[in-house]
Amino acid sequence: MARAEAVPILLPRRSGWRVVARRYAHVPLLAPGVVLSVAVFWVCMAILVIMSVYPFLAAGTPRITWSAWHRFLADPYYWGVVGTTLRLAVIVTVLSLLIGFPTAYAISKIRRPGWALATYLVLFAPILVSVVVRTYGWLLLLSNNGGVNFVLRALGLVREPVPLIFNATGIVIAMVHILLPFMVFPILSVVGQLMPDLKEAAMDLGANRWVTFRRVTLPLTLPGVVSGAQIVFTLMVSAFVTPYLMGGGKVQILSGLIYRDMEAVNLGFASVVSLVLLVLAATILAVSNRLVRHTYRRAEVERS
Amino acid sequence: MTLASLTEHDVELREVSKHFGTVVAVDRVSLQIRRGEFFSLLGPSGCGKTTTLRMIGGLEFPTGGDVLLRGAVVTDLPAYRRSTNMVFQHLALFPHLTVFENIAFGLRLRGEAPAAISRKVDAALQLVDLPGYGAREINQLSGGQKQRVAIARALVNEPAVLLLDEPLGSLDLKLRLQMQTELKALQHRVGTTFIYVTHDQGEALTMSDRIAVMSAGRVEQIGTSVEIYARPQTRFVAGFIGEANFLEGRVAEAGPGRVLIEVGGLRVLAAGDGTPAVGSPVTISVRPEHVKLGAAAGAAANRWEGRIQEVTFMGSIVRARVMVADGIALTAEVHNDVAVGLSPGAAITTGWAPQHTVVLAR
Amino acid sequence: MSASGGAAVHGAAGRDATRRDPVRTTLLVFLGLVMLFMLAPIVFVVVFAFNSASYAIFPPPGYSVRWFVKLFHQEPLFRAALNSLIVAVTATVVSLVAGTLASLALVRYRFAGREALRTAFLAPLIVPRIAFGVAMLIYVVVVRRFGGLDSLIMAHLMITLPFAISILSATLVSADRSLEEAAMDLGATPLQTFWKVTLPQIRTGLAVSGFFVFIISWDQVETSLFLVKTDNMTLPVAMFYYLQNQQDPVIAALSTFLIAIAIAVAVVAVVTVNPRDLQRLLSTGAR
Repeated sequence: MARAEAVPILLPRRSGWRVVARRYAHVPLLAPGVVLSVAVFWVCMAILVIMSVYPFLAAGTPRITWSAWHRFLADPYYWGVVGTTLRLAVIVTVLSLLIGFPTAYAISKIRRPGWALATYLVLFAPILVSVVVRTYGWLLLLSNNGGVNFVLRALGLVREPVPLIFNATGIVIAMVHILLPFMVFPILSVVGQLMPDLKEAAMDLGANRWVTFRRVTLPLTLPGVVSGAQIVFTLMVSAFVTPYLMGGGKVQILSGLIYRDMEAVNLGFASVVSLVLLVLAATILAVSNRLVRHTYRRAEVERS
Repeated sequence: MTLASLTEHDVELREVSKHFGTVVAVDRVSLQIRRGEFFSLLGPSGCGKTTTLRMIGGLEFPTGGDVLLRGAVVTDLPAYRRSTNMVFQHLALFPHLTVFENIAFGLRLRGEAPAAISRKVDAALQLVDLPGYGAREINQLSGGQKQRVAIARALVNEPAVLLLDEPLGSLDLKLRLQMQTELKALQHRVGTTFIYVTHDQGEALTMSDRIAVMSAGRVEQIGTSVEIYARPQTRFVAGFIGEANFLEGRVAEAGPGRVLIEVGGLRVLAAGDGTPAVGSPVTISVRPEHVKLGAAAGAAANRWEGRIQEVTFMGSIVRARVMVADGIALTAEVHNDVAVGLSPGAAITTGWAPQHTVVLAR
Repeated sequence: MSASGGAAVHGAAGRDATRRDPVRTTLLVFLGLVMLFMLAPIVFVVVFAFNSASYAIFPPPGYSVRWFVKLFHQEPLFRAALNSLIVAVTATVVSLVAGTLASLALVRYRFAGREALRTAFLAPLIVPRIAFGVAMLIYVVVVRRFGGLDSLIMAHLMITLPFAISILSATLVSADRSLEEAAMDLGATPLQTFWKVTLPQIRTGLAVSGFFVFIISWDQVETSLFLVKTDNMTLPVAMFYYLQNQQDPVIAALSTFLIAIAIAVAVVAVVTVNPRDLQRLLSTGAR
């Protein structure tokens, strides 16, 4: 068509109410969420920051003070608490992985759908049972008069009951139990997608089982492993109920420290510890997110 | 009033543009589509044809220009206020509703009486040759049946314009050819204006009354199938519709009724007036089926001795590549009964008549 | 148990299993042990609910139902359960409504700052809940509203809303946009389109996120801990305090009820929800 001859009739852009309404259609949809989020969450975050340097609820005239921060940062005891928190998180994550990986792998090997569903149920149902109840169960099982020590003594393995609660062991056992599903399900979701023909191809090429596992299965399941580990680690760092009850005040981690200071109505210091915990959790998440993305990309490359 | 009654145009686009951020999807497109016409928007993917269709349907809104439906400006009216209906690329049938409820969807929204709805849906099912299918679930239908339901769902609302966004794309070739014929027949029967988006030139050529060929957001040419095929106005159109030999040259002489173009060492005659001035660079385009070989080329005004490079048997036709001058090779398509004796390396007379030389300004 | 056993089988797990395969057998035995590990504390709580002694000892000296009888006289626990229910239902409904609206905006509209807004909405998910409890207490003291259920609902909403948004956005992304366009093309206004086409498509996502959001709120200790007094006590916090102070198996009797409900719900969930959805959900870290 004779485009060259067409006179550019640039009609003025319409600016009726429909155009305006269309441009701002998302605003009413967002409003309730934004109001809630700002009015509670973001105000709360601001409060934490302000409270940590300006304890306005304390008696006397409030003024800006770094004393709470100083107290935390200068005292090796509190750094020790940070260390314990991280150490427990590492132990729980590693154990969850060592148990969770073969568990997921085994579930993927179940041939009868009924049994697979049953294992799903056993892994899933505890999530619906209150953390408090599950912790209570472990207190009953692991106490000096509990089931585990009874069995150990009955088998003649020990004469005196082994202390399994009110120490790190109890925390680790109970937390592995609570967090295991969060490790198993992400791994399961990648193991389920693992194409059997990929493994068969590797076997055809002469790789034995161990090599197949290391070269094919493991790299391809790595994304699931990494995201499972990420969830378990971050949940463990900020967990409170179980570590507190199982630790019985003998093992101090950051969440317990916050609770102690809240009981003592030490709001400024509790805010500082809360912020430290928040920064810790956010940092872990940021670092592990990069790792997750990296492994996902690598798995994509391997797959293709 | 008026404009609506005076004009015969169901749809008019005036300098319509659509920008997505910095990407110009549609660039100042103007079209007029007559009432009852089967109009196709044809072009490669990403040429802006679907966006243009969606702007007519009110699913996308122009950044500039105006859309008119039966003479009324509807540029900013949303889809649910327009008398257009669309058959979507992936059909977009509601999986949670039966065939009947899918087709009745628009009628119910307009608050029609249950009896009228029932009658119209039945008539629509009859129209698309699916009587008695109302109670079926969508996932019980075959690909072709889904196609028909999607068409019925749109047509039952008696739209001013029916918009079709590559609706046959997901069908296999045989079913596709059958649906093409049926669609055309259906359009004759209902008399509704159809605007059909496709990237398949064959589909557009067989079904359309007129075609707009689009490329990079712009309309390259609008015309009937024959016009588009025989008289492409741009190199893009010549290359996209069918196949063509392109030769770059310069106008040497322009007399009444004839133009002489120098292409390398060759002098090519073209019929027509000397629209491009003498000395201006042009591209000429010749369809392979117009390039004659051997005795058939003997009387052609454009004729050279060439050497066959390659012969490809393609069933009813045979394609040959002939070198006629240094660096100038032509593709010819000849019927396989005249192709006997074509063999690579052989010398052969090659040529075409001047009326088949299409001169494109560069 | 787990460290050595886990590591040993871990290596073996790699071998591809075929029928009657020792590797496969080892794996399945290991799986059985893990299942036992998962069930043990829960089974133990139930066993202890029928313990005749008022202290925790295994094996129990005898069996009785007296803790169940005593439980029914614990009026504060019923109050707490009712409070928990009110808070959880409200938080769930508000999260689903506000979450659906926000997700629609985030998924279906293009506007400046959309990505930033999405991040801002999901940010509460990374905040440790106990830290949030601290902030919420200070907030509540500042605005001088203490002791109501409303502050609890607000606190829970901050966790449940981002959770609902993350699930519902994912659901909406996978919902077919062209169906909504088809509805509008056929004359449905945006509101009609939502009710007639969008909602039926995201029903599963709504049910699943509603379910998880409810559980999260119902089982919330950390964020509620500092906000509750006697009149707005919630059940998990009441149980938390009870465990710290008393050891008698009343709490085991209560837990038995909760476990029974949880199992019933889990059976329904596992049977009705697509296992793939379940995996995806738990992969996002719902707890």
